[in-house]
Amino acid sequence: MHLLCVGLNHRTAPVETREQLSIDESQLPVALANLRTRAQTSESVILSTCNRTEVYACCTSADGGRAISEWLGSYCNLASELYAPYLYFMHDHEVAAHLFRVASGIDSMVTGEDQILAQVKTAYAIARKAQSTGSVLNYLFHHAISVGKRVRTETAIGRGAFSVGSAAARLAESIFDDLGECTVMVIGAGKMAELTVSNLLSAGANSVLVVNRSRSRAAELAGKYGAQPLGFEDLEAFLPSADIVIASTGARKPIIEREVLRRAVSTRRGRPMFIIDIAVPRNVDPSAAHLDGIFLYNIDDLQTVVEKDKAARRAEIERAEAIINEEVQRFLKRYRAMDAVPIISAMRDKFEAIRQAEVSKLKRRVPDLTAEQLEAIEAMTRSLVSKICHDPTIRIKDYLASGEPPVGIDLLCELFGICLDAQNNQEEGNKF
Amino acid sequence: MLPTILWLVAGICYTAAAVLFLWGAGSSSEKTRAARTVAATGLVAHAALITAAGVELGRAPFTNLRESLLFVGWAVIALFLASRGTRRPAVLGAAAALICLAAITFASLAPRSTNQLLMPALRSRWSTVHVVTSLGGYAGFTLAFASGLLHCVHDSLLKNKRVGRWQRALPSLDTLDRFAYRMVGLGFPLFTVGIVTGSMWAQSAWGSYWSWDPKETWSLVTWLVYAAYLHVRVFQGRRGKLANRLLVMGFICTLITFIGVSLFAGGLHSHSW
Repeated sequence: MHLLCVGLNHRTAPVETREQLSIDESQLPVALANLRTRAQTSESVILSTCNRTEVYACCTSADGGRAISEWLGSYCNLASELYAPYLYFMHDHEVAAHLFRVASGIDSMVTGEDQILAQVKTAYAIARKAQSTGSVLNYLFHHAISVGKRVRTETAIGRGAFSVGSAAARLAESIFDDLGECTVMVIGAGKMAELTVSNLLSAGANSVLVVNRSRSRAAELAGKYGAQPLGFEDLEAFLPSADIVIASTGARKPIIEREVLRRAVSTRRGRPMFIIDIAVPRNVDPSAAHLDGIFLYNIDDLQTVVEKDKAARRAEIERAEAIINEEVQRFLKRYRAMDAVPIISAMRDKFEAIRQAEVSKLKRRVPDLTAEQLEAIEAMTRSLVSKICHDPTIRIKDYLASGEPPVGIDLLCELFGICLDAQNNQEEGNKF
Repeated sequence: MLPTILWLVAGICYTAAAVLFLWGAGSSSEKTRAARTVAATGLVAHAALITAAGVELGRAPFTNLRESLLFVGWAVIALFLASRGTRRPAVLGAAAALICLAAITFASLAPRSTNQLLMPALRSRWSTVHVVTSLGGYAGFTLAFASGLLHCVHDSLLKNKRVGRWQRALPSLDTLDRFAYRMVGLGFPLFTVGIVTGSMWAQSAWGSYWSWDPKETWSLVTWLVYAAYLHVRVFQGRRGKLANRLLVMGFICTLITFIGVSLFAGGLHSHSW
């Protein structure tokens, strides 16, 4: 049996190709059934997100990878030269290592993000429901999901800020207990300001004030967040009610003076105020940073936070890789021992068939055996077979778990005429 | 023998709790939960220790420095564990465990009392209530001070833009402010009851409610500082620097009232702590 992974991701393929090969969640059961008949897979899971499309499968034939890749093209109606160069093929332990890295978020575009673990879970759940998974992929995906969790709890890979916006949101959480109780004021417009607001909103903030030089522009922006639009003339009056201020206007001179902030702070009676000045040139008088209860961060400060987190994350990736290596070894031990199951049962079936054949021969030759004698013969022959099988059973397991090439097992099968194909086995057994 | 074992169990539990709290700070809520459980186990052993001491002495074991510190340490952990609903409580938990460890360590170094029973004049039903509530008040004030201190540290880290892993492990400024407020909110009424029952006791023992001895005077000063804190915090809705300064002042007064007076001044309370 071969464990395979065929796929492409954001590193190997451009977005146009990924788009064409992506399979919608609702289509997955159909796709899995189609894959099973067309590519002769015994087990399969399809993981399709905006950054990757991957097929995890178990095949009996050695070139199952080619069959899967052909299926992918035909299922998505794509000529092979358009996607084949971007594909990667993985086998056995590479598959485990890859899936563990994917589940841990190391293979993601944004290292350590959480979404991928949920996507892996969903992909597996769908495949399981479609009854396209078996003992190997069940074990592989269960293991991968627990590795994903372990990496996230034992390393700080998913922690820290990924962008200026998330750095701002995290800082806000260091100051305020509940962003849901905070009022966010956005002065001016711009991509960066919008991103920061959306980060704060997803962190729980819900009350937004939008200030703009033109009231109509303010109203337009305010519509987006269900916010209250304000003009510049309202700024000073509303400033004290704002807990988080995002300034990003194109003004050439500071629009919020130290004195204005000092008054706002004293109105707020020591309740802190977090000011994010992402405008260049700066919108807030930098000397206001010294006021009590004011936390003033400009774009460079936030950028520094992001860079520091990135550096910290690189160290965490190394720790995560170590965990993954360890887990791959654990997986391989079990996975290889799974290979042992059919060999061992084939061997036992063979010896059991010989035993039964010999016992019935004996019964024919010596018809006047008492029931007690027959029972004794049964017990004796059974124990003989199980004693003979005992050592090879243990050796096969150890042998496979050690990861050595299975020459010894091939030899065993050859010498005893054990055939791993279940059908043949049946026939062989019938001969005796 | 039994007290030694209980003492060790409590000490080991608090040490383990502090380590777990710090280890899980900022990342693992499981470790924080485990730390709470370990601390609670320590609390039970600690309570058994106090009870055993009481049984052995045949009186409420809150008279000398050793016994008082032992109880304050217990109350610190009890108050921390009782205050639920704090976000990212790990660092505060570690602080509580360390404070308690310090208290029981000092208690173990303090001289063991030659078990003198109280003078007949001082035996009163007010005595136990007076001591327990006063000591409970001290415990609340100590935790409030620790929270205020962490507030100062976190505030200055954020102001100087020294943000990162350790800074993120700290509770938010809001949380620290609220925790301090809640601790004073618990400690102040206890302390007030302590003063009132103390004066009842004084009336029944010495025939006077208030005699301006150093302990009484300082406890009044302490009471006034925390009353000021609550006034500022509740009626003016102010927080931040002023509230924190009052917390520091209050804690200094608490230390003087609790330990300083008995060490240096004497007076009517000189027999006890």
